[in-house]
Amino acid sequence: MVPHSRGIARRFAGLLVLSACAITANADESARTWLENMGKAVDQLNYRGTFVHSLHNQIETMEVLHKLEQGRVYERMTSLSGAAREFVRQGEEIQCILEARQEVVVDLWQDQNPLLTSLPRYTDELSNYYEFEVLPGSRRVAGRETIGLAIVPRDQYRYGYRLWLDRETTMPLMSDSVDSEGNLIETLQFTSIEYNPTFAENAFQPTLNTQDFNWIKPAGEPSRQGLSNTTWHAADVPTGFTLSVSRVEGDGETRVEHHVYSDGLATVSVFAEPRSPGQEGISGSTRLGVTNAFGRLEGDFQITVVGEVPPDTVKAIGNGFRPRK
Amino acid sequence: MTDQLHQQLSAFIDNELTEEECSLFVRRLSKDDQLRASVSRYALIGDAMRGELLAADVHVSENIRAAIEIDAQEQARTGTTGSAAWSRWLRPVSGLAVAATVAAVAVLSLQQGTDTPDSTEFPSSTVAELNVDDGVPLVPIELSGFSRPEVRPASVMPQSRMDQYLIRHGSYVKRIGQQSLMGVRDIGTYTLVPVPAQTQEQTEAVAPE
Repeated sequence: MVPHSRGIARRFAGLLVLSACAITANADESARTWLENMGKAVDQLNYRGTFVHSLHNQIETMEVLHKLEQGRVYERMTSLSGAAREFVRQGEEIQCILEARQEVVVDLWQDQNPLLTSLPRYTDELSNYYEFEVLPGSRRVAGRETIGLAIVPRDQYRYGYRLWLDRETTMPLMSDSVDSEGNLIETLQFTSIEYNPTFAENAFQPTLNTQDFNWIKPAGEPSRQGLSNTTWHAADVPTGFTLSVSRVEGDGETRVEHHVYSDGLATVSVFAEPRSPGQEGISGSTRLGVTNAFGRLEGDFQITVVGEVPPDTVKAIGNGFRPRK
Repeated sequence: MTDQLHQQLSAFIDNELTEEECSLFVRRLSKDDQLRASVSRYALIGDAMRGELLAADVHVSENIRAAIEIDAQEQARTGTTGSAAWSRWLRPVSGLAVAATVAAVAVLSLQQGTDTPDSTEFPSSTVAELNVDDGVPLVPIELSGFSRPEVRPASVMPQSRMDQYLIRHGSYVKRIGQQSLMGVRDIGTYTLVPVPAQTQEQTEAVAPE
C-alpha cells in the first residue's frame, strides 16, 4: 500500500503545483486586464484633479485637467507649488510654459496616430520581463476605493511599478516607480479627482502670463512617415527591447533621427543629430527628473538617449547606437 | 480606524501627545502597518496641500522622525534591504517609506532655500547627481530645486533642446498609468550645467585608466 500511497501523494503534489501555476497565471492575466483597462481610462475619461508628485529630494503639487472631445485631446497641467510651470496641450500642439526661464517651448504632440506611438502592450511575452500581481486588500486614494497592482521587473534593465486604480473607472490614482532592488524612485498620488466636470470655456488656455517670454519652436518639420529612411540603428540592446518607432525630422543640418525602443512597457528614445558649430554636446550619464539620460559623440553627431529606465539601460542602448553600414 | 485612534493619530502628527502617550503610540505604530500608512499619508498630503514642504520654516513632526528611526532600526535588524526590499514593497501598505521621503524632502528643501548661488559656479551638489562612468567627460545636469535661481550655461546643448527631446519622447510613448502631459513633467525641474573646460581636460586625462 505504501507505494500506492506515495503515488497518490506524488499525483496530489503534482496537482497542487499545477493549481499554483494556474493561480499565478490567472493573477498575472487578471493584473494585465486591469492594466489594459487603465490605459483606456487614462485617455478617454474627462477629469480634473490634483496630484502630489514626489521624486528624489523634491515634492510638488500639480493640477491636471483632461478632456477628450470629438477625438481631440485637451489637457492642462499646472504646478501649484514651487516654480510656476504649465503644460498645455490642444490636440497636436503642446506648450511648456516655464516662468523661471521666461520661456515657452512649443512642439508637436504625436500620439494621435497609433501607428506612430509606442503603446504599452500587455502580451504574454511581457511576462518574460515582468511579473504581474494583484495586491491583496483595498486602499482609499483621493476618497475612492482602489485596487493595487504590482509590476515587478525580472532583471535590472527596467523599473517596476505599483499602481492603485480606481475600482470603478480604472483610472490610476496612485503610482510608485521602483528600481529592480525595490527602492522607491517616484510617487504620484492624486489627492482629489472629479470625473466629468463642467469645464469653463477657457479651461484649456494657459493661465500664466507669457508676455515677453522667449518662444522656442521646433527647427524642422517632423515627418509623418512611420519607419522612415533612417541611417542609424542600435546594434545591441538589452534583452526584450525592440525598435518600435523610428522617424526623421528636418534635413541637412537640422536632420534629426528619433528611434524608440520598447520592451512593451518601458521605452527609450534615441536621438542622433549633427552637432552645431561651436556648440557643445552632452556626454555621460545623468538624470532629468525620473528620466535617465545618456549622451555621447559619434563623429560629428550628438547621440542623446532618454528613458524611464535604469541608467545602465540608456547607456547600453546609447553605446550600441551606430550608423548603418 | 476608531475615532479614538484617529484622534491619537492627529495628536501624534501635531506633536500634542505626552511623552508617555507618544511612546505607547510609537510602539503601536511599529506593529500596525495600516496605522503607519495612515500617518505617512496624512503627513505627506497635509504638508503638500499646505505647501509647507517648500516654505523656509518647513517643519516635520519630531514624532515622525522618531518613527522613521524606529523603522530604520527595524530594517537594520531584519536586514530588509536590496532585493529583499521587493517582498516588503509588495505588501499592501508600505508605511514609513513615504514618511521618510517627506522628511528628506523637508530637510533638503530647507537647505536649498538657504543656498542661493548667484552665478554660473558649479555647486557641489551637481557632482552628487552624476553617475560617473568610464571616465567619459561629463556634463552634470542637476535638479534645479524649486527655489534655486536658474543657471544659464552658454556652452552646452541648449536647455530647450533637451526639453524638445523630452517632449518628443513623451509624445511617442505612453508612460504606464499616466496621461500624456505627465510624461513631460520633468521639463523645468532640471538645469543643464557645463563642465568647465579645465575639468573636462582633467577627466579626459584620467579616462584611459
